Amino acid sequence: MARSDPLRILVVEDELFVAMLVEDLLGELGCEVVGPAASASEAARAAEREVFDFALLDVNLGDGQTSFETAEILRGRGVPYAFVTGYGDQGVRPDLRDVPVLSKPIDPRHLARVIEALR
Amino acid sequence: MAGARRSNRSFGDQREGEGTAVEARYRAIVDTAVDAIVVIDEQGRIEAFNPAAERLFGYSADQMIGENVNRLMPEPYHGEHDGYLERYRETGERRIIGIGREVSGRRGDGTKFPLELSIAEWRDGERRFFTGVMRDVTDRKRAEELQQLMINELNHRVKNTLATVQSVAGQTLRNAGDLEDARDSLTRRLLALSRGHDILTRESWDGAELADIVASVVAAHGEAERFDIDGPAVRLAPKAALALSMALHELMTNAAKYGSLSAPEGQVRLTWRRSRVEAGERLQLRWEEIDGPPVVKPTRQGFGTRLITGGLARELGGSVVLDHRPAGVVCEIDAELARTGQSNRFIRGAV
Repeated sequence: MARSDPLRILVVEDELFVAMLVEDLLGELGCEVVGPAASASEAARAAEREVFDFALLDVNLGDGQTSFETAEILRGRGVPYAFVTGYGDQGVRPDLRDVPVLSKPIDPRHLARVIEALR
Repeated sequence: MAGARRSNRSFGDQREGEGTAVEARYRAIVDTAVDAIVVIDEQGRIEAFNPAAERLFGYSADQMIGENVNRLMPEPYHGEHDGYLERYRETGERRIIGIGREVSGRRGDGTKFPLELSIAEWRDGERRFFTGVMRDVTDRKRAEELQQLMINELNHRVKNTLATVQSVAGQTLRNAGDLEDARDSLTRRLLALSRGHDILTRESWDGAELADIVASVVAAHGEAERFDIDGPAVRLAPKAALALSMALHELMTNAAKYGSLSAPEGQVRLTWRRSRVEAGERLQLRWEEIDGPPVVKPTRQGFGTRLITGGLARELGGSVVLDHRPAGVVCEIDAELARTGQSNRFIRGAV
């Protein structure tokens, strides 16, 4: 699927500076950022209502909250997504490990491959 | 334990003659041991049950002597133990004997607990006995779990911090005029991040007082006499505290380079107040530069501006206005206190 209009990407990230980083990296890849959503409830709301092509979900959103519920909503809507986590695969709930998992710090080449696969 | 014999109460009967001293010696050890010690015969019947075992399992020796040792075990061990003994009698295959391992125990009140067990085998004539030494490892297991949780949390924080450095470094390098400028800006920003962490670490990442954050940023700059600081006590959540600390650092750096702190007479007035509104309490903070050179509005958005007007506003759940007035830069922050005042839950933060 080749497309030239910018991909819209929902960013879920509660760490301020990491959110800025993800925005920058996606900008360099020619994507438009939706969000960033900084909490589980904000993320779930965006996942239900916003229009976008892909989502990057930080797993741990602080205070024990995670983005797994958002992932379930996206799966239900058929919107592809990837996780971002400092824990590696182990940080992702086992039944949700069928999507790409990006590590922190973020390897721009890995992110580029994940985005490229969407085009 | 040559002298230890079957007993109707505890370890060994008093015997006449030479055995008595040996008996007394072992009895002193067994009765005062901190670990539970239980002797069983080949069929699993309890022969001896020391005071520590009484305390550990909540049964008296009188209740347990003659009982099957499987009463001290939860399922599946409870149902399978007779089979283990039988297999050992037939095959000599050792599972625990002489090795030791962690198993589960069951107390008189039915509660289950982790137990470290080692077993010694011995003979008295034709009869074979097993002595089990046991220790409750509940506290140790709990400490291990907590340690694992802390390690996971630490790993999470280290990775996030590295990603933060990746972010700050990337933005600094992109906006820098030259390499020297980049090195200087990056170093200052990392030091500012570190100071923000220091404040939070002092209070175990439970949050920070706004006045402490301001004092730290001012102390790092120096020239305290050029600041007019006033505001009530306000408690900030860790992330809000860190974001504000970094934002103030950026304002400070800008003021020192181009703003009021670059002129000999220039001042900064930093004031905040709390106000009650219908939706809850709000925090209004104002940074105002006075008696500096005329301000020229920057032509492009640097790291500081982006952090202050974008990230900080989002982090505080409010609005931030950064105004490059000719008379001096003014930055006004209006935030929900309910949000900025959230407490951090260190342990719950780990997945």
